[in-house]
Amino acid sequence: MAKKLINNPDDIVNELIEGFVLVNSSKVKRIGSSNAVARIDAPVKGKVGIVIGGGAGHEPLFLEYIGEGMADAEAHGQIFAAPSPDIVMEAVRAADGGRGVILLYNNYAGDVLNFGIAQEMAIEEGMQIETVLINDEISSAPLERMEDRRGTTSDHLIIKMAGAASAAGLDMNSLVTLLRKAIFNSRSLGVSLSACSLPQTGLSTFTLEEGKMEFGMGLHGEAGVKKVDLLNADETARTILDYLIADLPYKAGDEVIVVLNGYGSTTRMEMFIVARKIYSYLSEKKIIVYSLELGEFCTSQEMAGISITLMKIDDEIKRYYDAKAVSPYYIKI
Amino acid sequence: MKEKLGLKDFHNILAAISKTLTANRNYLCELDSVIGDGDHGITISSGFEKIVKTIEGKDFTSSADLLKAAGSSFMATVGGTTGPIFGYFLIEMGNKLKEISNGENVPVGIDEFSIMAGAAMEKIMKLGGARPGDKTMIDALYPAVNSLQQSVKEKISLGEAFSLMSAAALSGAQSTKELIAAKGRARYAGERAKGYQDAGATSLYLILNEFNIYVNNK
Repeated sequence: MAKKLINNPDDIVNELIEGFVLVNSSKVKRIGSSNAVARIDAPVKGKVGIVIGGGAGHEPLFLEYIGEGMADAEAHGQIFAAPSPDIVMEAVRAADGGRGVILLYNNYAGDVLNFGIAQEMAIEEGMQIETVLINDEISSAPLERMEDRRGTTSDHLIIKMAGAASAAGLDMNSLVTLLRKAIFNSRSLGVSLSACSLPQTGLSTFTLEEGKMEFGMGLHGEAGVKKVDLLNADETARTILDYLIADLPYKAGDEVIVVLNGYGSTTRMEMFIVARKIYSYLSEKKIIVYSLELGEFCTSQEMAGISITLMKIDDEIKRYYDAKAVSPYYIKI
Repeated sequence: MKEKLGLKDFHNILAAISKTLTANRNYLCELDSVIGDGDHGITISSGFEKIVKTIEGKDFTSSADLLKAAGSSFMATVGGTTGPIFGYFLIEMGNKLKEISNGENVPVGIDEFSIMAGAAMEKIMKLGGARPGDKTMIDALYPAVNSLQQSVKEKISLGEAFSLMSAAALSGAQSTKELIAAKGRARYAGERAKGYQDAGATSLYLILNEFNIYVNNK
């Protein structure tokens, strides 16, 4: 049984949103009593609204990525479960500044269903609305079925693109094209060292034997692609990078943004050790690191492990990446 | 024995479903924990508890409106895949009933129920993309709908038809033990999913079985 600092398990999501809004009261607001939140000045007139969201339990994903230069509103689901269409609609209405709304979320069955129903509702209300699905996780389906892949740890980069480009005044179509390019250029793969538990029950969602690690394990304990004896930091970094580089493929001379993400209980100490290998191995491959972001961007409770994301960049992506962003968790000035 | 279900009957059956799912909460979580994240029992029982709260003391003009309100309330509460799938099961039953009764509050016999369940199944298959054999709730619903359609042809009583429907749903749910999941998050479990009954299919059986119990007064 995992130990958690919670109250009534049924109140987890409501209470985490309450706390989130109190801590960030100058930056964000809750939409009524719903599980939707928005940046304090939403809707921002004259820009396309960016709505993000997904299941709870992966914080800072997604609610801590709303703000200036990031998303406008977020729909927070229950633990590991997509938000209902009603919550998504609250976020959509809060984000609608008159130039349309983009629903930007990870490709999971539950999210596609609920956001999809919300999109139909919004169309019935006469709104202009588009969907962009994030599907960067390379082990969840082979290359020829890329559209079936899950979304994972490139999320905050894609949200940043959407936030910066919508603030710069791009229209719906140009935004959708830009986001699809950024998503196509992004590939992620992780490795898990130990399981996460479900906060409502305290029980592990899976078990990983002593001395083993699993590549490609999902954020909710979805089985991975390869279970091996525990590798050291350098071997782990190289293994993940080999998979990623082959997938796009990333070539010598390519410039990339790297995300080194911790899933929850892997220490920064370990991540820094991994980071040095990422630099040296990419340098060997003559892939240029424009920026490496190290931190917990997308977590899965107390799961141990890391993921690496590579996003190939061009001038357009670079411009929006460098733009100002002020969200509770992610700040770029 | 009843041959037709009215507004009050649907109300009672929804309440009975809620009780049964709550009683089976831990069992459904257990089924889900092997290939899902182990919360199906919590999710579905809390959704039906919300339905009961929503419809309690409210006056509906027709069974169709009751079913639609119940499904919408479920979907708004639950989220995940369970929300839209089981929510639309009720909403679409209501929509179809409204359509075939021209908006009047008509009693529902085997003919109507069979058409309603068939429409709900079609809607869910379209929404989620699941087919029979994918290890989802469709594996219980599909044989149940077939059984209802057969009963309509054979012109048997509502009680007999519901008893057969329930048995078909149960054996359909049990058949998921042998399957590998092809939809949703469970598909990542691959071979690990074999040997375990699908939680959603089991819930769907429990839901349909309450119709059976109610009509046959078991």
